[in-house]
Amino acid sequence: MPIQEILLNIFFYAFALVALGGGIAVAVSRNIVRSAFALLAVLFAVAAMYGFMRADFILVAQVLIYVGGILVLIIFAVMLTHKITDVRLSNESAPGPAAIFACLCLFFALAAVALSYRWERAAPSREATVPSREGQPPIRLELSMTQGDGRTGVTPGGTVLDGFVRCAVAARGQGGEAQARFRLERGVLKESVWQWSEFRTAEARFRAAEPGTRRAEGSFDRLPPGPYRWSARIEDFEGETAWVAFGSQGEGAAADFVSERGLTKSIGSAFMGPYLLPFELVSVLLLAALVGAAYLARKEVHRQG
Amino acid sequence: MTDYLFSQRPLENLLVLSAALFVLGLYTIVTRKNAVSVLMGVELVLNAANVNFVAFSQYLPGRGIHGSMFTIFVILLAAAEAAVALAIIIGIYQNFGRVDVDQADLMKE
Amino acid sequence: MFGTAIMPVETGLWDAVLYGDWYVSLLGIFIACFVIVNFIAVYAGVNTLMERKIAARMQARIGPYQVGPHGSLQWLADALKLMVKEDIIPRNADHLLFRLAPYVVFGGSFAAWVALPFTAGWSPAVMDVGILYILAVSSAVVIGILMAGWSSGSKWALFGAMRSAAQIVSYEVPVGITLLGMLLMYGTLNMQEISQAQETGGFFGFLTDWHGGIFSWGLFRHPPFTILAFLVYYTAGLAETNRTPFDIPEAESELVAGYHTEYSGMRFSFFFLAEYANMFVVAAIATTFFLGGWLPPFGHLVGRTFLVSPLLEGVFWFMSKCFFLVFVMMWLRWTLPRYRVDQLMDLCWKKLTPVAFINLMAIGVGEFWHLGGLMLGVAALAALGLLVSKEVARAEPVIQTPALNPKS
Repeated sequence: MPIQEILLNIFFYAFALVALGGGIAVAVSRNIVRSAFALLAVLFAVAAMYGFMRADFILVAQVLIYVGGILVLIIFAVMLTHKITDVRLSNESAPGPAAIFACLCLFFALAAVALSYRWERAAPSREATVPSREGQPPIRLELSMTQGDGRTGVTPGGTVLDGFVRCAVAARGQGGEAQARFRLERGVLKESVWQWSEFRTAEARFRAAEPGTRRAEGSFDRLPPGPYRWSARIEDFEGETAWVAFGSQGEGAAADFVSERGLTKSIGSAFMGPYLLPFELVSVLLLAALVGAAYLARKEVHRQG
Repeated sequence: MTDYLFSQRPLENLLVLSAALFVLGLYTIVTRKNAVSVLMGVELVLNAANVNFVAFSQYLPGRGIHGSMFTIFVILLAAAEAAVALAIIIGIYQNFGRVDVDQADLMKE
Repeated sequence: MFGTAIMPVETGLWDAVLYGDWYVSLLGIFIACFVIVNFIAVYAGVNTLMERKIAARMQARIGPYQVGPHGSLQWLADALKLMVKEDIIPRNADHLLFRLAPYVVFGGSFAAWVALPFTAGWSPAVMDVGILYILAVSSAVVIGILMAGWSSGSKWALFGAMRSAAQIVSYEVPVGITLLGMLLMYGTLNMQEISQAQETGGFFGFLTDWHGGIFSWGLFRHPPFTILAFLVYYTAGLAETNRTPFDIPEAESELVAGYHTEYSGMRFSFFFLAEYANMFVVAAIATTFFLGGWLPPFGHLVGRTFLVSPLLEGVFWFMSKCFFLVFVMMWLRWTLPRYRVDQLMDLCWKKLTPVAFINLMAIGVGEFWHLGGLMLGVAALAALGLLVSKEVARAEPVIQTPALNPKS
């Protein structure tokens, strides 16, 4: 395993341990203020998990609202509802074997489902056939995209976060030594028409994946935000095939994928688009909660006479 | 062993982590007497759900950002919920002098 | 998602570590952190000296004079004293949290420095969520202060911490709304892009391609609303740093020293560093949003003769603006008396927040419909003028006291 993967794993497991340890402290600590500060560790570790998932806006929202708002409220409530001059505030709990047993069962059930279900990772691929050369059967090609380090498939027309995409071509019925060449085109809007121009190329050797199929992957990283199209072709010692595009070709054709930096932009347009009504409703609800909380927490005023 | 490392199976790892957080939150809710502690358990459960939403949104292909959007709404509603719940808890404290959830049973008598 | 110092902006931090030269990226991260921590330490030290000198000047004293020429090395002596001082942990304290709290507070303010736009195209980390990130990590400071106050096992510390937390959380409302109004103009959360956006434009959005120098800065985009927004942000930011006239959490006449009453030695100095680091962050946000960031007052970054390169010139302008704002904070500290708690909350919720909302609406109108913004601006100026003239007419005549004259 390359050292980068090891680093990523170390960071992930460190933050997962922080989250678990904090969660256990919240659940069993005998001091309620320590529970509250353990919640801080959990919230930050969960924020780090959003970082691993490349959800930068959610990371920031988590820290801003949970740590800056909810946690401060909780600590305030702890201090307002206890005689706080004593540092060691007790926090009774009634652990019973039934509770522990039930929770463990639930955990194992959830974990078993998560680990045993075969989550769909690949995106739909495009099939194409390259016309045969003299005396050879036609080659069937399968083109597919994954994002980042190849963990998640990208659907045609989908988005790629942080400009790292891996394009793959699988050739069936192709014998002998060969290599694939990938071409990436970037779209620029000129007079309300997308103009496509070659942006980068990459080469990769074919590897045998299963009998009769050979697979090559080309990766492109640090792509600036914008729409892209890509195509592939096979080159061997006898010559080369024509370019096979992933999507439709031509001047007005749509992008195969769009590269975006972080989630901020798409979340912003979603709020102003399909999620406009929920967004407004939530703002009304927040106002109602604000008024309600102020009403509940106010001091009772007893009028004389 | 290497099959279970994060970079190979990120979705599964995150799901197991969120299951653990969910169960810990549930345990907190079930066993604690203090109302503020129960609220902390609720926050743990919500966080676990949020991790699930974002993980599905980011690691399953072609799902768009709907999971992430839902997470943001959950976070916003958690803020409203915490504010109202804590106001109620402070009201209980003013009436009963303590905030144990099994003490506030005036309606029962 | 994040760019680092060495990698291009388009690259994510993880991608830089994972797919670029990982050792170069990691080294870059460590160097950036190392430089920032040391810069904060030296900057805070020099600022203490500056503050004492300014205080002395304002009170017609000399101030520190013994260590070094004109006392210029006093801050080194202070740092040395803090480092070798005994570290006392009260018996009543919650030891774990008591030890942890200073690092949480310092970590919160240190993390905010990472996203500041020090010069054109260079930040330790260029983030798309820049300003939100800064506001978010700053909230760790509140938690750290609560942690310190509670774990000290002293009621002075606890009261100080609760006051401080209430103050910071309340003043985040006007800060957030004011910055929201400015973000309407820039259309990005990225601190670098916000600085860059102030190179052109100005005057209610009428002049989009105009290189107006100082008049293209955020401060003069929608007068008088943006100027009001600057004042609201600066006041609220001052309150968030817990400094005079908003130093109720540390009111020495009431609470001994607030949340850090029980701290001494090195742990105390972490609170101290965090306070000065926070002042700089507030000044840097104000600079980036209102005073054009690293842009020079006139013309472009060209690398003037004494500043070698455009990059260094950007650093020069950014730092000059920030230090000026920090200086004003010190100036205010030795000029204004302290607010009472009720006055403080009154100022936040009944004055700054409504003004911030009005600014938000007016800037929104101006960005959408330039002429409407202009009319609103004129109307606001007229209303302000009327208000001021009424106040002046109603005010009692100032009683002239004879100036203190040591010679007579």
